Amino acid sequence: MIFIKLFINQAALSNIFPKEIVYLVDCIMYMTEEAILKGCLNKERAAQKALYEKYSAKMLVICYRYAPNIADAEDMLQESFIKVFSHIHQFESKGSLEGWVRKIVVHTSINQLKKNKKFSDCIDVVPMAEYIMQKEKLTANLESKDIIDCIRMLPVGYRTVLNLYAIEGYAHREIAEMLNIEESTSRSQYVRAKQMLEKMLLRLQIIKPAAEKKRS
Amino acid sequence: MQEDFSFEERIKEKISGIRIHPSDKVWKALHQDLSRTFHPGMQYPVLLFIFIILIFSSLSISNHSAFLFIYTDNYSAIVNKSALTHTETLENKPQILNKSNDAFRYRLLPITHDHKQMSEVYDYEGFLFKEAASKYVALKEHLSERTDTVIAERINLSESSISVSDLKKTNISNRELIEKKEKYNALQFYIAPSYSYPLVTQREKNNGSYYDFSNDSSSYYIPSAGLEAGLALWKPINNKWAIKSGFLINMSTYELRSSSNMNDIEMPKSEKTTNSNELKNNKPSSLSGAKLMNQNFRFSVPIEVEYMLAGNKALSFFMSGSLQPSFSVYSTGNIITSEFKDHTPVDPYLYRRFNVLTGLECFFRLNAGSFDIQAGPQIRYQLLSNNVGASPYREHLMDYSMKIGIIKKIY
Repeated sequence: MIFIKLFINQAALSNIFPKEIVYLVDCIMYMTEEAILKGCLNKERAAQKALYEKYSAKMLVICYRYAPNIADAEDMLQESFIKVFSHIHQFESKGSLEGWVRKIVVHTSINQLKKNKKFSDCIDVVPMAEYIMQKEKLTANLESKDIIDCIRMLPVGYRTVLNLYAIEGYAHREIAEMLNIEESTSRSQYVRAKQMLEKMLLRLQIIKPAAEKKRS
Repeated sequence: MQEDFSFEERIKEKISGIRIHPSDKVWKALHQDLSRTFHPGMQYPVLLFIFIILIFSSLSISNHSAFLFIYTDNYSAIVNKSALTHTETLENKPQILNKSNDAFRYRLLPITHDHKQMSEVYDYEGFLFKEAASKYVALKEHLSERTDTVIAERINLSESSISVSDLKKTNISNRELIEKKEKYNALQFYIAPSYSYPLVTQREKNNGSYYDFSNDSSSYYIPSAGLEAGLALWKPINNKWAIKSGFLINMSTYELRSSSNMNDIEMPKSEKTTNSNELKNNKPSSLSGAKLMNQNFRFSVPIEVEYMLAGNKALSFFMSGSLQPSFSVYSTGNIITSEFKDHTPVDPYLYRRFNVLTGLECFFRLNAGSFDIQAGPQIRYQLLSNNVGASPYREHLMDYSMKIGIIKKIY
């Protein structure tokens, strides 16, 4: 099968087959995760692309939750996938490939965040309040992406801890190690982040108050 | 706890289905990066290769300058260290040396203090050395940069040969020899108890004017004690100027007194609220006694230029200026909030790790026999703000300290 693939790739390079056929063959060849993994281990570019296409959209959401803007999020994603491809041999098939990729993406995002000075540009309570005012006019069109936007409006420290604890499921002890902070700091940051986010979401009517929810 | 869980679950549920497709340029860039990336296993051989090259280079350099000054009661000579592995003899007159004569590498090189004989100019690997003042013979300046000053004396020309094993030897950087030329370096250890406080400036004007801190006592800083310790290598440039560099560990603290903390800031309730300046503080802005210690533990590599104002060998006065690139190893603290009436803990990401400090100091140096003592006041200013732009104001640290050090000459 690999020989056939190599032949088709060479043929594609020589413009014998149209790109669409090559893409179709790629899709067939890398339909399963196992095939993708095997291809990536052999450093086949098509397999790497298949892996990228399978997870990039999902992983970009993770990066976007940590990054100050979409361009930085894409940088994080790119950096993450370089690590994924260069360390793919370290993946043990015990867990899911997606989980492993996700872990790398989270760690890379955190590291990028630490290095990137631009992340501080959007931290203040001022834009948050303005954001609420703008969004209040659009309550009819609220979507899930707004939650992500709300998370992103939190100060960097708050949103990082919130992302790691509430969404990624890390324990405060692990977060403290990752961010080089005290465990108690992680807890307090999370509590504050949660309070801030809840207020924002309640105002945007994305979530209902707990009491109201119980009644309904 | 259940509510916490439901909140997290709700958030997770809401965002689980979101996908954002990256732009095409991400894959293109990734593709290019992957084409350049080393095979994971390749980096180790490459690093090993570089390491080996570095080791061999350093050994080669070290061997090249590994000369010894050897002497007996009767005569003395310069010798390449590698020559000591051979049993060679001294010849009774100076050799004519030049770079085409490889023999010098394996031979002892006798040098006479006799003026007449030393009037000859010897060529040594492209460098010249010749007679110096009085009974001393020194390599010419540019050679002495590489091998330090070489002095020979008490050579007995009547003796024809001597075994290397009979020779006493000492490193070429023999103290007595170098002192004759007054060229020595020094190692300096110092400590400096300091007093630190931040200089706070507003980044942007608010309503056309900067905030006047003096009119508001809600939040304010109080200077506090710190300490620094360092080790530096001192190297003279000429009689007046010297340069110094080394390592410096510094701990600075200052206190922030404020009324409450960030928990008390609540989001605006009224829909008509449009300005964040209207964010209210639940507690009145009075001093309810919060005392918060800001700490900064940093590691610096100072580069200092020193100028001697006046003095003699026993007592001299100096002034110096330094630039200190520094890295903050550990820092905790609080900053004043945007309305200047409150405080909030600083997020670790908001701390600027790398910073640059400038220092100015005046001091005296007292010769105390085998070592010198130095003491004097120092002022230091941190060029970049402690925080990286998240706060509406800049916070620059200012240190006042009394630096006390001991200096040991090394040759």
